[in-house]
Amino acid sequence: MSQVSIGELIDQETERRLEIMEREDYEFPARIGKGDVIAIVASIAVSLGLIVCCMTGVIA
Amino acid sequence: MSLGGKHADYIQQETITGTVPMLTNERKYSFWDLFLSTSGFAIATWCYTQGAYVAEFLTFKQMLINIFCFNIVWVFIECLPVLFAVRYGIDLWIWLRSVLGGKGVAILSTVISLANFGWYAVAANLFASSMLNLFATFGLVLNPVVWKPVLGVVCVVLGTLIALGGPEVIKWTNRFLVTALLGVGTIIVVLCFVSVPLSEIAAVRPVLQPGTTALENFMISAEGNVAFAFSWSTQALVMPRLARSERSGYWGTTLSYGVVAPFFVAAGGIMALAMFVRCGYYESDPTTMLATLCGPGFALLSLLLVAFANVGTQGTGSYVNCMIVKSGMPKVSYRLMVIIAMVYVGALTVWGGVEEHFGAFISIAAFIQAPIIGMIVVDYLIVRRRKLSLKSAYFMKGHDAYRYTNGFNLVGFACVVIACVVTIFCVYNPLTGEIQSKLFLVFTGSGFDAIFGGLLYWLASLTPLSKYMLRDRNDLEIV
Repeated sequence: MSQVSIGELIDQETERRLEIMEREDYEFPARIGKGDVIAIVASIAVSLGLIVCCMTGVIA
Repeated sequence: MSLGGKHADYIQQETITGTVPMLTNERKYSFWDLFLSTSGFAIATWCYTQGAYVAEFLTFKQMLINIFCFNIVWVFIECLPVLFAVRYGIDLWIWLRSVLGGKGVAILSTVISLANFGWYAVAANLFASSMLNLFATFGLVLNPVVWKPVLGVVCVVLGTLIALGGPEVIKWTNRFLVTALLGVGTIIVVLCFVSVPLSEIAAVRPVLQPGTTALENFMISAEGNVAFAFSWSTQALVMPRLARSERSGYWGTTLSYGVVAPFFVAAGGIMALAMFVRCGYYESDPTTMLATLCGPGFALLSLLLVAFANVGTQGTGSYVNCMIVKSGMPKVSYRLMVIIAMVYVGALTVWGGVEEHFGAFISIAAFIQAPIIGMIVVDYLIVRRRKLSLKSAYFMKGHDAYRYTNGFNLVGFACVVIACVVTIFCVYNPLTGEIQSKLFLVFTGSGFDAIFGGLLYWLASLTPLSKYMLRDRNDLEIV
């Protein structure tokens, strides 16, 4: 540890890991699906609708 | 231990509690682990206080919509870049080096974390108050002048021990704590409705102050909830790097901040309304509300759990905020940072000033974070379109796209400053609570701050400034 500074150690390890991530056979974590996107958009849309109803006095 | 063993240990520590990217096969958190850990961080006594504050201004239905819907809208949007954090196993403060520059991140992450730590001083003070009340219930009356700071510091030290244990200790602590807390929260809501019929709670009408309108009341309450949602934002960008999939990372984070925390805020609001029906006045102290509505026995149990929720918040919060500061100063040891944080939060706890000015404190912290939220969402989805030069973000040799002017991305910094100044002088002043324009009645102050910051950043990317902002387009090797 004494011969290699903490900074150099972090940099070397970061570089090594980025090289692994660059490999074609590296598997990234599974992506979100269409269902997730629909759920996100629907949740936001419904929430905005309810907020507008309160702001306009429809829901008192 | 051999030199190689020491190196391996150090690298392992830097991966979990540092800035080194975490590879897919090293991820430790499932959906439930992230959901429970993040919820443990989000649930604290201040949730009840926030709910009681909102309840005074709104009807029952409006209160629920205000609390849940504003939190869902903003948390679901501000957490979209979490998908990036999960994919590359880094926290989003590394991404922010492209938006603010290396030194920009170092300064803003430190300032924001210094402000965030104020929350934990408040949590420690609330822990101390709860414990004093619990002792009093058992007939042991302690002098608050002496014991409140002592118990507060005990909370900070216990939280520090959890933080020193890292994500694995945080995970196991919260698995038990949060499950118990969710049960208690549900029972509290049920007991409130048993104690005071729903029809009577729903019939309570807010009293409008002279010169104010129902819409103003609704949006002033919304400002509190938007600030509440924003208060998680910079911290929400850290833990998802531990998640095994984008789905678990996103939903584990958003359901905690967007649904679980608001659920406890709503519980506080329902208790405040039930107290109003029962006693004719609004109360914000959860101890008094629980004792009046649920009886001393249950109040005792729930207070004990909520008190320890503050310890859980302290531990997770210390881990998260030290990680944020570490993104700006990667070479400082995590353990040293946690110890410094303990001393700082301990001092704030003994001082007690943050708790006195809690409203102004939460608004100011949200105002600094708001434009950064807007900018990072716009950067992620529109400007950089989910593509970052990771090598430039780590300032590796030969990859200089994010080495901006003396370490500062001047465009990004200018957007933050302009958005804050325009919002304070033209829309809403969080220090005085003064509404400066009708834009507040559409967006809220913090909401406008975020949208305006993002809009400015996007407009800048359409001008020749894009050459300065987007020097990384030929250096996108890992996508």
